[in-house]
Amino acid sequence: MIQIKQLTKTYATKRALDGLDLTLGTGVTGLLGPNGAGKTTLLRCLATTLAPDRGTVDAFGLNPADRVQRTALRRRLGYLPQNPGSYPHFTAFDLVDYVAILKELTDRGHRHAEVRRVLAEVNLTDQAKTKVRKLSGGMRQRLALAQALLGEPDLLILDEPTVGLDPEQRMMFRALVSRLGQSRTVVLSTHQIEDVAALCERVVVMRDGRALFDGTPGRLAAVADGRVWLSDAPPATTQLFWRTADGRYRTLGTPPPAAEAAAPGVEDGYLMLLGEAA
Amino acid sequence: MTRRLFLFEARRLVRHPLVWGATVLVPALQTSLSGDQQPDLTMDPVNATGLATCLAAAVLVVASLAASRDGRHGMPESLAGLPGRAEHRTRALLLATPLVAGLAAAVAMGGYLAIRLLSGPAGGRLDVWEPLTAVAAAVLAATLGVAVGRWSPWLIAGPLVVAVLGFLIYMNPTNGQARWLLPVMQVHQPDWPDRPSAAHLVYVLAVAAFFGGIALLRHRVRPLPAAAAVAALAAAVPSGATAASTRPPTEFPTNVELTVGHVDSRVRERYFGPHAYRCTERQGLTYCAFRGYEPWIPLWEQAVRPVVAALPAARRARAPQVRQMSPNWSFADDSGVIRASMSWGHLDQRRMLAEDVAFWGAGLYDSAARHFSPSRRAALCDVRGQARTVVALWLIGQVSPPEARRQLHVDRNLGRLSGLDWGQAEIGYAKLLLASPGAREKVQANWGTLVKSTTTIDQALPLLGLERTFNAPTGATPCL
Repeated sequence: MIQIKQLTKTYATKRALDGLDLTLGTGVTGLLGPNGAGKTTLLRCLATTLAPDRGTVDAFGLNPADRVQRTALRRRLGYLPQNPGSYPHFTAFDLVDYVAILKELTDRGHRHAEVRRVLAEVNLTDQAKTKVRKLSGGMRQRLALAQALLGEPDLLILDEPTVGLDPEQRMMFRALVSRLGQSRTVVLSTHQIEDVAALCERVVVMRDGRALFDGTPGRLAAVADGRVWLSDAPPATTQLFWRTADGRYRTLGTPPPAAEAAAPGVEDGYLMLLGEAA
Repeated sequence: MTRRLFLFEARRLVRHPLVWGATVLVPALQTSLSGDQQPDLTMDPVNATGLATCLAAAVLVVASLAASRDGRHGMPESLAGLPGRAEHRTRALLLATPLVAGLAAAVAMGGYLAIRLLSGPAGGRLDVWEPLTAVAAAVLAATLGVAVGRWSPWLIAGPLVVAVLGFLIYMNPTNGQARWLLPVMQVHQPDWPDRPSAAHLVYVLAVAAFFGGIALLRHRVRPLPAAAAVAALAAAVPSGATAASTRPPTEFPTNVELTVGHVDSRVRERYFGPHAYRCTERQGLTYCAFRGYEPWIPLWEQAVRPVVAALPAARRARAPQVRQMSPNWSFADDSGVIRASMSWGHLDQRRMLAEDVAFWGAGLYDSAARHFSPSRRAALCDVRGQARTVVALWLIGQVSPPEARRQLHVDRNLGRLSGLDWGQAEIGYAKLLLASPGAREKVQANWGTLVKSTTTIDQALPLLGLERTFNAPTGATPCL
């Protein structure tokens, strides 16, 4: 269980987190929000790479503000940053092995088995001996994910993990994360709303460092209940609408003339929520 | 974790092409550079220590890159969320890089010395601290590299430090005693006073430890690294001061008659004392070598014996001593000995020894030596047209083909140009004489006439059984 209380972080004049309260449990929690909403700052505070100005994080009874407890927490978390790094002159195996050592997997046999396991999880077994610089962008993203998976962490923090992945890899990623979410806490930040809809039992929508919404994807979709419309002609108003693949117009908000109601999706709820917040 | 990281880093360093490349390159290059010289235990370790700077440079760059790796390629954020801290990584690097660097230097140095020792009889005296200093210099480069990588985020920092140190070591090697404060002092000659190698070794190791402490202090001021840095500094200052207080070798004054008194007092006893030489008599000739250089006597003999064997028995019986001396010492009272150099192996050195014996045999040695003396700047001794010149060149020809007067290689800093002046006619007749059957008997039978300074080549030709083939006039002011 992770409890976040009154978490506040300010960069110069920009308040990235503004007294955020949040509780995270077992399962996959998706963070949604526009750029600058504070998602990455929140994940960095959770990953202990950034100290908040105010407020507390309590993860599994450990307080990251304390040096010893912070180290203990780091042993239990896996973190995929927004822009994961990699040493181009290392092989994929060596890079993950290096991170595994830094994760205190000291027994060589066990560590190497673990490295092979996580490489297999992200489908990079065949690239184990390949230099990182020769890997594609998607492969590097999977390699970074492999590092986060080392040691079967209790808390998995993934910041935009599906960037650069092709559709097949995204499906594989969803299967992997949904499996991990059955027994541990997974927090992921993404702009891919369909990933959230497919994966997350819980969604937190953030804006200006605060949680606008905290609930299931179904409840987020329900925000737009009765406010999604399909029509043959575009609405005359300036409200949000777009032309769908079948040539009809999908409008959020006030129904245009001769429109029929449509079932809302997570994206509709998210857009409606942000529109209202604005 | 530090142990695992240490093993990981050590494995990467061992496989790094710059490290193993330099480990191979150093002995190969040094072997190639000293290929024409006999192994000299006084000079070889010093020379190799100088070249081992290449290995140290490679280690410094690799260590600085490894230490600064944390801050590159977008890894800081990934590494920040791991239990293993930067301090662990620095500690592991401070264990791995000096170990690998030291081993690489030991392999390079050991390999080079082994190759040298197997390549022929070794002269000189081994100063065990010298090869150890090469190892210590690599260790220092490793800890300095880690400190540079930890304190400077720039990739160029390591190469820049290498460039500055390289400049100081290679480009300004002869000025000032402060050069002993550099990790490597490569300038030395066999006749120079002993180097302060033990103090220098302690200094280099202390500085290495100091930089290790500095690297660790980058993370947090902890008592142990701070104490280690202070202790290392406390050892480096006196040892460095001791090494740097060593006076450079005394230079000889110019335009004065040199005596033994001008020789640096620190080596006077060693080279001019009653126990300076180890002398051996071999086939009627006495060879005297400085302590440690006795294994070279058979090599000198190879250059001397064929010439002496061609002399008449009476002359052979009065053959002078062959005595090892530094080419830097040229005293008024050292005539009457044939000088063997402080180094050996170059073909010119072999020729020079044969030349000196031949000139002595033909009565030209004193003239050659006198006219050679650089301090007097005397005119050349013109021995053209004289029969004894042909005899001398024929004697030299027992070892090395007769050839025109040219600069001969004495050692890597010095050349020698004979004070005698001969021409193509003398060379031509000497070659004809060498090809002539029974030449030795004819020369020995007519020795008294042939070596007179007044006997011309034309007068000697019938005695030698040669036809007049070349025009061989005597010089306008012949050297008698």
